[in-house]
Amino acid sequence: MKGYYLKKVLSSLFVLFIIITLNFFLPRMIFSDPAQPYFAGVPEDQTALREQIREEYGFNDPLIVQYFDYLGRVFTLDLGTSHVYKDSVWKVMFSRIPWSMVLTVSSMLISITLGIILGAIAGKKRDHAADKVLLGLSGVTTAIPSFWLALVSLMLFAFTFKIFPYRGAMTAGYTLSFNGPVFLIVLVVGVALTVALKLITRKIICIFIGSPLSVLAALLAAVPVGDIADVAYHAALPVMISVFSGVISYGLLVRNSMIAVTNEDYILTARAKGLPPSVVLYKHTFRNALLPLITNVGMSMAGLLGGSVLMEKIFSWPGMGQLLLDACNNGDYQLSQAILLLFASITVVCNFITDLVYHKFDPRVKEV
Amino acid sequence: MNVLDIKNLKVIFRTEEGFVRAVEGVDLHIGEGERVAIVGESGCGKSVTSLACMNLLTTPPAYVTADSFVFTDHDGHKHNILEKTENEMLALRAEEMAMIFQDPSTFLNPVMTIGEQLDEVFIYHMNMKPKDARECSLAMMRKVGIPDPEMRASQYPHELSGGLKQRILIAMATSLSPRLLIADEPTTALDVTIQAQILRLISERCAKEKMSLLMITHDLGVVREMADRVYVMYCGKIVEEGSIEEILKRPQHPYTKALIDTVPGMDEEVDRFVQIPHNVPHPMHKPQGCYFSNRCAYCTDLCRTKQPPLFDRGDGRKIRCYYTPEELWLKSY
Amino acid sequence: MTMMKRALTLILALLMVLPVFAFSGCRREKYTDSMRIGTTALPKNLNPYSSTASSSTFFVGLFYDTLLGSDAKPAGYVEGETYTFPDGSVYTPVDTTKNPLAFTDGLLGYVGALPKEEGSVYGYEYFDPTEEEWEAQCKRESIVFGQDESGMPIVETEEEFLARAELTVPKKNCMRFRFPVVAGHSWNDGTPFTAEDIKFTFDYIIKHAGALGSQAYFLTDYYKSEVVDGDFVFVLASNNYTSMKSVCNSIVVLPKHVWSTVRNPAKEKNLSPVGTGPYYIAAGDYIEDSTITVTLREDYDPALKAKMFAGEPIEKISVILMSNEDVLINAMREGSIDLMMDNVTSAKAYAVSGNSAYKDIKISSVNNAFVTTLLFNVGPYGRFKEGGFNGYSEEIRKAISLCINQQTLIDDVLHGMGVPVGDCLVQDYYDNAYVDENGNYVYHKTDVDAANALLDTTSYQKDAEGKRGITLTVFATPGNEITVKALATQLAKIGITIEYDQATSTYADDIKQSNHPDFDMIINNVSFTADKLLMYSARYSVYPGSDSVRLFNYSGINDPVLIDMITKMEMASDTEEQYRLCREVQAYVAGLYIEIPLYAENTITFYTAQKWTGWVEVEGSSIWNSYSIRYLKKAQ
Repeated sequence: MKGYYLKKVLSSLFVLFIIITLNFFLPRMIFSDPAQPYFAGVPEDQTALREQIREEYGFNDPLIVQYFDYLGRVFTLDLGTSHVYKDSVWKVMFSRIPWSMVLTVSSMLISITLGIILGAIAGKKRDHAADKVLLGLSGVTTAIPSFWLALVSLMLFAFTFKIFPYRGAMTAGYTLSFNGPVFLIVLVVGVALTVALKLITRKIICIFIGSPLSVLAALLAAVPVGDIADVAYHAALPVMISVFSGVISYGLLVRNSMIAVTNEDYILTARAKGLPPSVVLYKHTFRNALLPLITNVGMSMAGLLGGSVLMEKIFSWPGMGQLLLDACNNGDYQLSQAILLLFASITVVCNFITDLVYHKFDPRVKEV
Repeated sequence: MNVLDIKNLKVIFRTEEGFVRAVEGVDLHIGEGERVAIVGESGCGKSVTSLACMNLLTTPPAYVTADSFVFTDHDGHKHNILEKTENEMLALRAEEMAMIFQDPSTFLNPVMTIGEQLDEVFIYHMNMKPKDARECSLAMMRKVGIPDPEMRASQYPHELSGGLKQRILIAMATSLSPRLLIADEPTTALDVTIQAQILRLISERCAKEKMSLLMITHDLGVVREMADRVYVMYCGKIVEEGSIEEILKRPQHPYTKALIDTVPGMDEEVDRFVQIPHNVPHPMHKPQGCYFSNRCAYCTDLCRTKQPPLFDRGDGRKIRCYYTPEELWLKSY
Repeated sequence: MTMMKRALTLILALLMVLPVFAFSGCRREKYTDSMRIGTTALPKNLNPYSSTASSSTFFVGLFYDTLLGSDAKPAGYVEGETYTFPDGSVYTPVDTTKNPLAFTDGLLGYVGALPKEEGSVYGYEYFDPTEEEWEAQCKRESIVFGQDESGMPIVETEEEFLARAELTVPKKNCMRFRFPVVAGHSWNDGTPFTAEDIKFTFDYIIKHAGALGSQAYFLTDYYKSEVVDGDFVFVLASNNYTSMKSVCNSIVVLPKHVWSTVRNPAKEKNLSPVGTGPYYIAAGDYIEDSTITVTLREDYDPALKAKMFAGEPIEKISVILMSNEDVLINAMREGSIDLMMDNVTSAKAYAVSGNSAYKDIKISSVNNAFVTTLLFNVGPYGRFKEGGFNGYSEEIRKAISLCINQQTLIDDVLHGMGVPVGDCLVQDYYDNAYVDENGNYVYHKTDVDAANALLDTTSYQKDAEGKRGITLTVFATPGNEITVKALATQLAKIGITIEYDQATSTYADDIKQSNHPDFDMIINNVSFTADKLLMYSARYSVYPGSDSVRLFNYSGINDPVLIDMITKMEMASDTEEQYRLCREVQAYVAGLYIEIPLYAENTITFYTAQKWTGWVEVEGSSIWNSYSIRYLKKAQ
């Protein structure tokens, strides 16, 4: 067991190291002059000035020195300063991550929940309307790219029918007021209660229900209701579009694996044991049918912080995707490099967590 | 009094190519404490028959009909299985009838521990608390001869050997001492060395708990050990019925004969394996007359055009063939 | 049972949908009365000196003042004549003979006054620099120009340095300018404004030349500044004041009390700018990645306000971030915004202009300083180098030039929203554009017959299909593909085949630098506006005394005659003489056919006149300019 975890941790660290190394060498391969992004605003014939900048950022050092320099900075979590935002890259990213998470977390939660329900119904009863809806819409979602859907619904619901707003995360001119201390206090109290409940009842489900509830309570306490309503109203359209394709893909996944599991021999055993249909469904079929979903969700977990570049761009949502796009457009090299590094690291971490969770749910993995 | 009494059981599967008649009018009765075997090649409908007994076939795709399908429980109540809903069946399964399956590695839930899977029977049938259920499970595991049951209970199926898994399945099926135990090829997926142990365990359990046994197998060697009475099935129909001694010593149906001939005797020198010519007909393209007609050495025009009924030859022997053994003997010359 | 289930599902679905409808319209947008401007890119910081976002210049103009106003002229203005504005007020041109830095004061704010009349103490005077001043200037020049071909600073001995300086830096006729500070200005945090702030700004830029490279560049002739009796004085260690024109109308004056504590201007966000301009950002009105709202200052001097705005000024201006051009256009159609800050392409303008659904959207299309050209690679790796094409390189270039019909290109590619350009690549509305002996602006000539006749003298003769066996590849961005196609049609007439090759970069020089030093031609955008830049551009084309292609030498030409002319131009003692020589350089460069003008695409902006009227178009600028800000008023 310990060996398994150790092996996983080591391999994840190795992948991270490779990513960092790639991140260092990529710009040196893409640009003929890696210092070019740092020359923004300096005229071309100002060679002396450019030389000064080059010296300042260490581009004149031997490559190996630059590399170890970079490694050192990454490991001390110093990702540099964005010359566009004139701020630490961390600060810029952290101001965007919550906004991205508003979109991605809510759409993922809704689409996973709905997807599981729809998929379970469709997988259980093949003639049910849910099955027909799933199969029918799966063709639609694969044929229609979500950005097209987003553009069309923007046109229809925002401009023609004026049901939803067409831009931003809040009404123009408003900012979210967020009470940090209150948020922290409520969150800590909530988590403490959850842990206490878990210790008393010894049921792991307490954690699964308690922790999201604490986050929710903390948010409700720290952000005025009007602001939450405003954000919800602005997030509705992008979330619905992500949910639309998410529900179908998660639903199909659950449906197909439900059907596969229903035909498994051990379900026959369970039925022969005289277990009630609900127990057969939830305890035997469902748990096995959700295994492929774990991998799938784990994969998309990495996108939680990243957000959807397309959705954020189309709805002017001030999240990470938009930030990455802007960083690329503005030649904000430090920032885009840091974002890519963050995304890659999160993907590695999420893969690691997925492995652990999968391992928890499927004991067979131990052997591998 | 018979535990199970089935008359004219028919099972039809609706597939994309069309209807498949898997079982065509099978009469089956199992007496109290009686050990009955259904013998036949794969695809002859013997497994489907066993599943139909447990009412485990789902409609669609399976459609089950019978003139009568009566199960008598411990208290002497008669149940018409076919009229039962899934919920009504729950009380009968495990408590009154239980089943052992052929491949223990696929018939155990891979993501639940052995203990959890055994506990369920007690939890849902006896309304036990998990803790008490576990005690019962451990006791059951001891009964079927599993060493160190506490350790095994916390393990997952993939950590156990095939023989142990089959013992777990037996423990699971017999834990509530059902009146009827159905064993669907319980030794097919096991090593030869373990087969005998498992068979002995099954017959021990049956004797101890006074269970009737319905053994489904293609192995006549197993039948010799495990059954008092045998049904031979071919292409969804019973072709011969009789006591084990009668059938093995004096097989009357050409198919039974051929089947017995395929088993190499221990004491005789074998230079080649005997096999029945041709293949089992495709379930959708069965011969017009006798289903065995295309493979039968004694086949006549009558066999090819008209299906023989099940002739009662006395002494509890029934044979689906126009000809007596003597006639067949004459024909072979 | 099933009825219950269905009812429950319905109620649940309603519960999920209801809040969304309940929220819709729960919040009225702030500042619905203010001027609302939509953009696809909000500035990420408001540092006036080092922001890469073009939209930040929009804000800089509202918050800050320059030393002097700009020389932007309203569209349709004729040099030397009066001009009537929308409100009926009449503009009289400023007499530039009294002061070379006197502008039309078009830009919003300025803090230095113009000399009222000739011979006043304010204005400029010539003087001979002291040895100290001269050497200081030489050293500054050496920072910028004392480099070898690879860009490394040249290490010189004292004698070498002085000898080179003797040649390039004039020793007499340096200039001293004196500006009285305009009364009434104060910083928006309440601090009084003085000439010390202007001096601080100049010193600050020189001190942080590394971080503020592009600004420092314009100060190469600048020697020092001082404050005399409350007036601001700056000293040029040369008589070449042309670059100071840019300084005076583009470098904004910074508050000494705020910026003196800023150690590194490259890292200053400046999100609540302290400036002398009429607008400021109220607390909470800078919302990153959403909206920036500026408010008119209440403490702004009434006299200045009256001078700056023709009527009641706009109280609040909100700039709102939106995802893309189409969202902006739709938002404008439904009246959510009054102006699009971003410029649009001529294709989009053409599509909107013909659509009745967008009838409320007005299109402003004015001349622009940007010239789109076809640039030949005459460098050592290019096929058009001296002696290329069997020695007929120049004939082929000239023939191509003669064959190009700018008006047809403008009609086909830009839907008519552009103007033809002269061979000298300087628009006719600039003072120093090249003119012929009759004083007329020289346009590019089209003569296909002459081009064919010229090519017939070469070894490239037309074959049976009318082709000459010359196939040229044009590197261009996807946006310019249509231009290349149009060019191909035109050049087919003289038997030259043109092929389009997609460039990976938006910048022509990147293409050349990175992967393709052997390119044939590229579509290149150039902007030759001010006089200093004109000479700078000449420098771009040739680099004296070097055989290698310098990175910034677009075409890599090395022509001894041109080098002579440019050296002579730079060494001329009299500014008028420099202008005259500069025009000769223009004409000579045009005669080399290394860069052929295609067209100047107009600056196109979308706006509506539903809520605000009085928009004024300005040459080379968008509809949002200092004149519009001055004359805009609420529609009745």
